Amino acid sequence: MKRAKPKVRNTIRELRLAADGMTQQALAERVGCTRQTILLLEQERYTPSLVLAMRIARTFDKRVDQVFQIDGD
Amino acid sequence: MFWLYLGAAVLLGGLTLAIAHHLLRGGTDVEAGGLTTLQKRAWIGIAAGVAAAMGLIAVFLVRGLELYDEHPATRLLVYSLIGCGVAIHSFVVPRTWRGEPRSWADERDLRVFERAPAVQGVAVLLALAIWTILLTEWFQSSGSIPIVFPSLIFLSTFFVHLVSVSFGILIGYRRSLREAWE
Repeated sequence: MKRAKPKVRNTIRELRLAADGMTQQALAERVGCTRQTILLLEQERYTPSLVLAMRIARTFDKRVDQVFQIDGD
Repeated sequence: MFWLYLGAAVLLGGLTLAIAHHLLRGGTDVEAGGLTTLQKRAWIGIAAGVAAAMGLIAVFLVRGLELYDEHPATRLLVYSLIGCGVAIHSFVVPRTWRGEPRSWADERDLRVFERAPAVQGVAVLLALAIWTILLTEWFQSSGSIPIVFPSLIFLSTFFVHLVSVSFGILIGYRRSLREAWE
Protein backbone atom coordinates (compact mmCIF):
# COMPACT_ATOMS: atom_id res chain seq x y z
CA MET A 1 0.00 0.00 0.00
CA LYS A 2 1.37 3.39 -0.96
CA ARG A 3 1.84 5.72 1.98
CA ALA A 4 0.80 9.32 1.60
CA LYS A 5 3.71 11.74 1.81
CA PRO A 6 3.69 13.69 5.04
CA LYS A 7 2.79 17.34 4.72
CA VAL A 8 5.37 19.68 6.20
CA ARG A 9 3.91 22.79 7.79
CA ASN A 10 5.92 25.87 8.65
CA THR A 11 5.61 29.22 10.34
CA ILE A 12 7.93 31.17 8.05
CA ARG A 13 5.37 33.81 7.13
CA GLU A 14 4.48 34.53 10.77
CA LEU A 15 8.14 34.67 11.79
CA ARG A 16 9.04 36.88 8.84
CA LEU A 17 6.28 39.37 9.55
CA ALA A 18 7.19 39.35 13.23
CA ALA A 19 10.76 40.23 12.31
CA ASP A 20 9.93 43.86 11.56
CA GLY A 21 8.02 42.86 8.46
CA MET A 22 11.04 41.40 6.72
CA THR A 23 10.35 41.10 2.99
CA GLN A 24 10.45 37.79 1.14
CA GLN A 25 13.31 39.14 -0.93
CA ALA A 26 15.32 40.04 2.17
CA LEU A 27 14.76 36.60 3.66
CA ALA A 28 15.66 34.96 0.35
CA GLU A 29 18.93 36.89 0.22
CA ARG A 30 19.78 35.99 3.81
CA VAL A 31 19.22 32.26 3.37
CA GLY A 32 20.53 32.02 -0.20
CA CYS A 33 17.48 31.14 -2.24
CA THR A 34 15.12 32.89 -4.64
CA ARG A 35 12.05 34.90 -3.64
CA GLN A 36 9.87 32.42 -5.55
CA THR A 37 11.09 29.61 -3.28
CA ILE A 38 10.27 31.63 -0.15
CA LEU A 39 6.79 32.27 -1.51
CA LEU A 40 6.25 28.57 -2.25
CA LEU A 41 7.56 27.69 1.22
CA GLU A 42 5.12 30.09 2.85
CA GLN A 43 2.30 28.55 0.82
CA GLU A 44 3.53 25.13 2.02
CA ARG A 45 3.86 23.99 -1.56
CA TYR A 46 7.54 23.18 -1.30
CA THR A 47 9.54 21.32 1.35
CA PRO A 48 13.11 22.60 1.58
CA SER A 49 16.36 20.71 1.93
CA LEU A 50 17.74 20.31 5.44
CA VAL A 51 20.38 22.95 4.71
CA LEU A 52 17.82 25.54 3.65
CA ALA A 53 15.53 24.65 6.59
CA MET A 54 18.44 25.15 9.03
CA ARG A 55 19.38 28.47 7.44
CA ILE A 56 15.81 29.71 7.72
CA ALA A 57 15.53 28.61 11.34
CA ARG A 58 18.86 30.24 12.18
CA THR A 59 17.76 33.48 10.56
CA PHE A 60 14.85 33.70 13.00
CA ASP A 61 16.96 32.41 15.90
CA LYS A 62 14.79 29.30 16.23
CA ARG A 63 15.30 25.56 16.12
CA VAL A 64 14.29 23.75 12.92
CA ASP A 65 11.39 21.99 14.68
CA GLN A 66 10.08 25.35 15.86
CA VAL A 67 9.78 26.50 12.23
CA PHE A 68 8.89 23.24 10.46
CA GLN A 69 6.43 20.63 11.69
CA ILE A 70 5.28 17.41 10.09
CA ASP A 71 1.51 17.29 9.79
CA GLY A 72 -0.01 14.82 12.25
CA ASP A 73 3.16 14.31 14.32
CA MET B 1 11.74 36.81 -51.86
CA PHE B 2 14.21 35.25 -49.44
CA TRP B 3 13.63 38.00 -46.87
CA LEU B 4 9.88 37.58 -47.25
CA TYR B 5 10.21 33.89 -46.42
CA LEU B 6 12.60 34.64 -43.58
CA GLY B 7 10.22 37.27 -42.18
CA ALA B 8 7.30 34.86 -42.42
CA ALA B 9 9.39 32.20 -40.71
CA VAL B 10 10.34 34.51 -37.85
CA LEU B 11 6.69 35.56 -37.52
CA LEU B 12 5.67 31.92 -37.37
CA GLY B 13 8.39 31.32 -34.80
CA GLY B 14 7.09 34.17 -32.67
CA LEU B 15 3.57 32.83 -32.93
CA THR B 16 4.77 29.36 -31.90
CA LEU B 17 6.56 30.88 -28.97
CA ALA B 18 3.49 32.86 -27.91
CA ILE B 19 1.33 29.73 -28.07
CA ALA B 20 3.93 27.74 -26.10
CA HIS B 21 4.07 30.51 -23.50
CA HIS B 22 0.30 30.54 -23.24
CA LEU B 23 0.19 26.75 -22.82
CA LEU B 24 2.98 26.64 -20.25
CA ARG B 25 1.91 29.58 -18.16
CA GLY B 26 -0.10 28.97 -15.04
CA GLY B 27 2.72 26.95 -13.56
CA THR B 28 3.85 27.42 -10.02
CA ASP B 29 6.05 30.41 -10.56
CA VAL B 30 3.63 32.56 -12.49
CA GLU B 31 1.36 32.29 -9.48
CA ALA B 32 4.31 32.59 -7.17
CA GLY B 33 5.07 36.10 -8.34
CA GLY B 34 7.11 36.11 -11.50
CA LEU B 35 9.44 33.82 -13.33
CA THR B 36 12.70 32.66 -11.82
CA THR B 37 15.90 33.64 -13.59
CA LEU B 38 16.34 30.08 -14.87
CA GLN B 39 12.84 30.18 -16.34
CA LYS B 40 13.59 33.47 -18.08
CA ARG B 41 16.80 32.01 -19.45
CA ALA B 42 14.93 28.94 -20.68
CA TRP B 43 12.44 31.16 -22.52
CA ILE B 44 15.27 33.08 -24.17
CA GLY B 45 16.88 29.77 -25.12
CA ILE B 46 13.65 28.57 -26.71
CA ALA B 47 13.25 31.87 -28.54
CA ALA B 48 16.79 31.52 -29.94
CA GLY B 49 16.12 27.93 -30.92
CA VAL B 50 12.78 28.64 -32.58
CA ALA B 51 14.19 31.66 -34.45
CA ALA B 52 17.13 29.63 -35.75
CA ALA B 53 14.87 26.72 -36.70
CA MET B 54 12.49 29.04 -38.56
CA GLY B 55 15.46 30.59 -40.35
CA LEU B 56 16.64 27.13 -41.40
CA ILE B 57 13.20 26.22 -42.68
CA ALA B 58 13.13 29.47 -44.65
CA VAL B 59 16.53 28.71 -46.18
CA PHE B 60 15.45 25.26 -47.28
CA LEU B 61 12.11 26.50 -48.57
CA VAL B 62 13.74 29.18 -50.70
CA ARG B 63 16.98 27.55 -51.80
CA GLY B 64 16.04 23.89 -51.79
CA LEU B 65 18.01 20.82 -50.83
CA GLU B 66 19.93 20.72 -54.11
CA LEU B 67 21.49 24.09 -53.44
CA TYR B 68 22.45 23.02 -49.92
CA ASP B 69 24.24 20.09 -51.46
CA GLU B 70 25.96 22.02 -54.26
CA HIS B 71 26.27 25.61 -53.09
CA PRO B 72 28.87 26.27 -50.33
CA ALA B 73 27.30 29.66 -49.47
CA THR B 74 23.98 27.99 -48.63
CA ARG B 75 25.75 25.46 -46.43
CA LEU B 76 27.57 28.31 -44.73
CA LEU B 77 24.24 30.08 -44.13
CA VAL B 78 22.78 26.92 -42.61
CA TYR B 79 25.81 26.36 -40.38
CA SER B 80 25.74 30.03 -39.34
CA LEU B 81 22.10 29.84 -38.33
CA ILE B 82 22.72 26.66 -36.34
CA GLY B 83 25.86 28.19 -34.83
CA CYS B 84 23.99 31.35 -33.76
CA GLY B 85 21.16 29.33 -32.21
CA VAL B 86 23.58 27.07 -30.36
CA ALA B 87 25.75 30.00 -29.20
CA ILE B 88 22.84 32.05 -27.85
CA HIS B 89 21.27 29.02 -26.20
CA SER B 90 24.54 27.93 -24.62
CA PHE B 91 25.15 31.45 -23.37
CA VAL B 92 21.82 31.81 -21.56
CA VAL B 93 21.06 28.23 -20.47
CA PRO B 94 23.79 26.42 -18.52
CA ARG B 95 25.02 23.20 -20.16
CA THR B 96 26.22 21.60 -16.94
CA TRP B 97 25.62 22.37 -13.33
CA ARG B 98 27.69 20.49 -10.82
CA GLY B 99 25.94 21.87 -7.80
CA GLU B 100 28.13 24.94 -7.55
CA PRO B 101 26.28 27.97 -6.21
CA ARG B 102 24.99 30.52 -8.68
CA SER B 103 23.86 33.93 -7.56
CA TRP B 104 20.61 33.71 -9.52
CA ALA B 105 19.55 30.17 -8.63
CA ASP B 106 18.79 28.03 -5.62
CA GLU B 107 18.24 24.37 -4.73
CA ARG B 108 14.83 24.22 -6.39
CA ASP B 109 16.24 25.60 -9.66
CA LEU B 110 19.03 23.04 -9.47
CA ARG B 111 16.58 20.15 -9.02
CA VAL B 112 14.50 21.38 -11.98
CA PHE B 113 17.67 21.66 -14.07
CA GLU B 114 18.78 18.16 -13.09
CA ARG B 115 15.50 16.71 -14.30
CA ALA B 116 15.47 18.52 -17.65
CA PRO B 117 17.60 15.91 -19.53
CA ALA B 118 14.68 13.47 -19.32
CA VAL B 119 12.89 15.69 -21.85
CA GLN B 120 16.02 15.75 -24.03
CA GLY B 121 15.91 12.00 -24.51
CA VAL B 122 12.26 12.04 -25.55
CA ALA B 123 12.82 15.01 -27.89
CA VAL B 124 15.77 13.34 -29.64
CA LEU B 125 13.80 10.12 -30.09
CA LEU B 126 10.88 12.09 -31.51
CA ALA B 127 13.16 13.96 -33.93
CA LEU B 128 14.69 10.71 -35.16
CA ALA B 129 11.25 9.12 -35.50
CA ILE B 130 10.01 12.06 -37.57
CA TRP B 131 13.09 11.91 -39.82
CA THR B 132 12.66 8.15 -40.28
CA ILE B 133 8.98 8.42 -41.19
CA LEU B 134 9.48 11.37 -43.56
CA LEU B 135 12.48 9.89 -45.37
CA THR B 136 10.79 6.52 -45.69
CA GLU B 137 7.67 8.10 -47.15
CA TRP B 138 9.55 10.45 -49.49
CA PHE B 139 12.10 8.01 -50.86
CA GLN B 140 10.23 4.73 -50.65
CA SER B 141 9.86 4.48 -54.42
CA SER B 142 13.43 5.48 -55.32
CA GLY B 143 14.93 3.05 -52.82
CA SER B 144 17.78 5.40 -51.85
CA ILE B 145 18.24 8.55 -49.80
CA PRO B 146 20.31 11.53 -51.02
CA ILE B 147 23.68 11.86 -49.32
CA VAL B 148 22.75 15.30 -47.96
CA PHE B 149 20.42 13.81 -45.36
CA PRO B 150 22.83 12.18 -42.88
CA SER B 151 24.42 15.53 -42.05
CA LEU B 152 20.99 17.20 -41.85
CA ILE B 153 19.76 14.47 -39.50
CA PHE B 154 22.80 14.92 -37.28
CA LEU B 155 22.56 18.74 -37.23
CA SER B 156 18.84 18.79 -36.53
CA THR B 157 19.10 16.14 -33.81
CA PHE B 158 21.96 17.99 -32.16
CA PHE B 159 19.90 21.17 -32.30
CA VAL B 160 16.84 19.46 -30.81
CA HIS B 161 19.02 17.90 -28.10
CA LEU B 162 20.30 21.33 -27.11
CA VAL B 163 17.10 23.37 -27.22
CA SER B 164 14.93 20.70 -25.56
CA VAL B 165 16.76 21.36 -22.27
CA SER B 166 14.86 24.66 -22.12
CA PHE B 167 11.57 22.85 -22.60
CA GLY B 168 12.61 20.42 -19.88
CA ILE B 169 13.27 23.30 -17.50
CA LEU B 170 9.88 24.93 -18.17
CA ILE B 171 8.07 21.61 -17.80
CA GLY B 172 9.97 21.02 -14.56
CA TYR B 173 8.66 24.24 -13.06
CA ARG B 174 5.16 23.50 -14.28
CA ARG B 175 5.20 20.09 -12.60
CA SER B 176 5.43 21.90 -9.31
CA LEU B 177 8.36 20.29 -7.57
CA ARG B 178 7.20 19.81 -4.01
CA GLU B 179 10.24 18.57 -2.19
CA ALA B 180 13.96 19.26 -2.36
CA TRP B 181 14.81 15.53 -2.28
CA GLU B 182 11.92 14.34 -4.44
